Amino acid sequence: MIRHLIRLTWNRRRTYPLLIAEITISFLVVLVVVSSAATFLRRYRLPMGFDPRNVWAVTCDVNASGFFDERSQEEHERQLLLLREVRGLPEVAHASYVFSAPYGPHSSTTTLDKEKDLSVETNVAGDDALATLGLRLVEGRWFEPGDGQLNIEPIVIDQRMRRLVFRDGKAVGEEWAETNDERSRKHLVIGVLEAFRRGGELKEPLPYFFYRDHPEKASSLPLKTLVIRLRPGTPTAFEETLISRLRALAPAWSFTVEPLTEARRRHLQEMTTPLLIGGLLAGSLLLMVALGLVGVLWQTIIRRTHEIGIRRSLGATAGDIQRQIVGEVMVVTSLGLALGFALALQAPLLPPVRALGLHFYGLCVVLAAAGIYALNFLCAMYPSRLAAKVVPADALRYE
Amino acid sequence: MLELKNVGKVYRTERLETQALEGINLKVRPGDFLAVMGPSGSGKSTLLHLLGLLDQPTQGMVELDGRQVMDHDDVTLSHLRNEMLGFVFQSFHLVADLSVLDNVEIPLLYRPLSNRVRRDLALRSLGRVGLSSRVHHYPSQLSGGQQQRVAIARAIVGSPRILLADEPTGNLDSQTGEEIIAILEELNRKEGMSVVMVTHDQRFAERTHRIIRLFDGRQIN
Amino acid sequence: MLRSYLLLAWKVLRRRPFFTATSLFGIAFTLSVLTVASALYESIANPGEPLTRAGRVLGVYDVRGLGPHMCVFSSPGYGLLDRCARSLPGAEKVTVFGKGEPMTSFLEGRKIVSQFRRTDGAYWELLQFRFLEGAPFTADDDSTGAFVAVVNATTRRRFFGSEPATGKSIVLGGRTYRVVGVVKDVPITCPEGYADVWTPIGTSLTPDRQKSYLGGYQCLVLAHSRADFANLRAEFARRVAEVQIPDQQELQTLTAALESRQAYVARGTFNTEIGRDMSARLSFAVFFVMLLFMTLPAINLVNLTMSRVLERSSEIGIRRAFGASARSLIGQFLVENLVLTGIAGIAGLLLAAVLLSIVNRSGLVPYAHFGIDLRVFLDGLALALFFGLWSGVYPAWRMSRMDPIRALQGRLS
Repeated sequence: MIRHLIRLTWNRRRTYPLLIAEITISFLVVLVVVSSAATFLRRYRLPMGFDPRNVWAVTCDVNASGFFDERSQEEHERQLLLLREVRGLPEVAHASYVFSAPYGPHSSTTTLDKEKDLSVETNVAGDDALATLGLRLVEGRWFEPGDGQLNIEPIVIDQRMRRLVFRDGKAVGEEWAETNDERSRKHLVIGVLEAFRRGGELKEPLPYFFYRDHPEKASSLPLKTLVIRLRPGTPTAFEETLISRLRALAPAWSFTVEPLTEARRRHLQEMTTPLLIGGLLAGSLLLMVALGLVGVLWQTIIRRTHEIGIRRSLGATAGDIQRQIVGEVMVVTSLGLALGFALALQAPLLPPVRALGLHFYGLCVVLAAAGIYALNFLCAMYPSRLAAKVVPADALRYE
Repeated sequence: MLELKNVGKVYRTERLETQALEGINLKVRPGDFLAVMGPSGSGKSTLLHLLGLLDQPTQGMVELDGRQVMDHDDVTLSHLRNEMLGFVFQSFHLVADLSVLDNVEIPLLYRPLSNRVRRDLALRSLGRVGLSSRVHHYPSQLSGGQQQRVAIARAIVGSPRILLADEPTGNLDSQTGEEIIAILEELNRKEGMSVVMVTHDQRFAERTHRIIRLFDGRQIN
Repeated sequence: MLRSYLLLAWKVLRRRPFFTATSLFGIAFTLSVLTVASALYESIANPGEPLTRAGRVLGVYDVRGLGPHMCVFSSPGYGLLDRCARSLPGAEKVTVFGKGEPMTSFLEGRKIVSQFRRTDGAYWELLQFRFLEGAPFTADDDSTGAFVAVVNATTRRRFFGSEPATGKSIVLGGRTYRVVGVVKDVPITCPEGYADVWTPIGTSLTPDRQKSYLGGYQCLVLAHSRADFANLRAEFARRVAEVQIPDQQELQTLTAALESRQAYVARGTFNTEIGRDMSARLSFAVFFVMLLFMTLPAINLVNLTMSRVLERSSEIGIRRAFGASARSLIGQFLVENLVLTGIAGIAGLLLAAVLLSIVNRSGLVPYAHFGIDLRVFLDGLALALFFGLWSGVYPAWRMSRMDPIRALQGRLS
């Protein structure tokens, strides 16, 4: 029966080039949506490496200063004063400066491998950042007050960077040279973190490493973000107290507070809104295609009443007819999908698809194809029932 | 074997009631060759549809091997049609998008057979109507007579006991019609297949065993 | 003739409710999405109030600094703009203003975060805000560093309820400002004009900031006419090239350019270097994406129209047998499709209006007031007609080649 349907549909292929084109395009649309959604889902399930609960990010800004302006010695000392003040508050468990805050807009990257176009994101954090952000060390140690005396820059890397740079070898205690243009600087790896996905749950995880914020010298990059871990149960009203304490010490500065859980919510919303809109658009397109398919099938059945009558007179049961119509739709769908596969095969050349990994992309292709089959199967149900209801005697009388 | 007992058929539409057949008594026995004649609108096709189990009578009974046909559900009726009956139509009704071989295979699709058996049966059936050389052609590439022979091959491929032909020569010239009738006669004589043929042509009707004449839905002999 | 076409078209469409509904849904949906997209694009490319003279305006949006082992990309700093853009000869007006930052206030225990922007006095002359009360602050307020503020309607409501705000005090980030004026809310799609509170730059500038080359500021230059653009660009580029960066050893050269708004948006989209005008390519890309988006619904419509043609093949055969020319039949089908598209176009525009008002209310885009203006409406209508013709041509062409005899037999594939 299947061979019969394939031959029948193949011989009729000229009747439905548009239907096939529609199926192909729908498949590609679904593929894009499925692979985006799957990418997000996969990223969401990877470990974050920090704990945003009870953490606030306080941006300390010297009046609209430029991001890369150096800070004067006076400003640097004021920063240290602010940190001491915050640590002294009973509601605060831990506090530390960082260069770029989790979920925040600023980041800095450095080149890991120029030829392979590999970047690693970097950050600067104080000795207390481990406890403040709830980072998880898997090897070695975090920065300590004594690290200022080292004559080499200590860094703490994450497992992604460890895999890229050291493969399976030893990482802690090894040196790594950061090469930027002509200059090369040596760093000493002192610890490995599980991960640090600063960009947020739905951003692509990047290899990562931390420099130490040396309080004894004014950093060339000013650290504008103070992260604070509050003791559980601290009321939100504490924000006003905190800001007024900070302001008393630095009247000319401005302070903005955002709880990381709030920043996380904002991040998720910002990332999922486009996907949601895309999904809705794709859904509507599919609905349109589905209605169109039902319409075309309906017409086909009206035109083929005769053929149905003959098949019935030759002994096909109503069920046989229904299966035949559904089968034909499945064959047409397969033709459209074959075309779609041919196009989808070109996609692995694109960088975003390469980043997904071939296995994963293949899974998305299979899922999208299954979705289209299911949709077309449902669309064929009603018209095929109509076809099964054709009364053979009437169909044959109508000549 | 197949018997109509006092059968009537009324078509009802919203406004009209048409008595297509009334009080028909007819027996088709193994080896019978019957002709049904009558002017157009006299109920010939309806009679054939009733015999072919495609339609249900509004009065009377259709019995197959002594069993009331109306008791059967659609699936059983379809299987009965598939195994016991073969159809040949005036305008051939071949599926234009399928090759000759695929057309002949259609009735076998609804039986649990392997592809190879289906193919062999279809080829043998085409051989019986003398079309072995045309199996991969499409209906549009064949003459009217050849198309009707394909239709006959399709009707007999499942070895039915009764062949129902609705004006099989109606769309053909007399020479070709003659050939078709010869095939039907041969099937009847050599294989003992019962044939019921609706026809307008007195010459062809006279070559059968029995003629049933219809007028306004009634039997008039 | 046209009247009978229209009547017939109407009858045909009513006789096939399923097809009519499906086609209507498809066209209306596509048109509404395209109209919404073009409304969003319009509001970014030509934001209207307060940037009403966008056609004569150039801006400095980004700076790239290059050093021996550092490459910085950021907004320009105050010092750079003050030195290179402020006194450009031949410019009608120049304004330098902050990019804006969030500022926290506490009002009776309630936290209010306002978007806070520092501007000079010329800002209020170059951009044309609609003042609900009071007046803007002036260049004098800026140079003396007066603690005055202009707020928007939302801020007035948050701080003062339904009362007028002019003359009252407002505390932001621990500092007290006197409100001098209230303006209508400006949506974020006009980033140059979007803020909750505006105060003079003079309230914050320290001598250090005045020397800053990178970060935090932007500028707009209003030319007397577009013909002056080339001169202004050249002079600005010359001045930037001459800049010496004394206390920043990390950076040696700066790149910045006066760009039109469209060029800025296009540069952001294609991620190209500063000063390259990719706006033509952006327009092309937008058009291409729209065309692509229309493909699926168009194919769908063609498909349904084809089914309609085939279903009526015997009717067409009869008409042809009775002497209807192929052309008149094509005319009939095109009219049918245009009627369908016309109805769907109107439905689509209504749907677009609903969608835009949902976007406006959702708060996803701060102070959004997207609407279908006349231009967007005409865009939509043109699209609808294009759509109707496009999807009618192929079936009509197929129909004109239809053999009347075969059509009469209803045996068409």
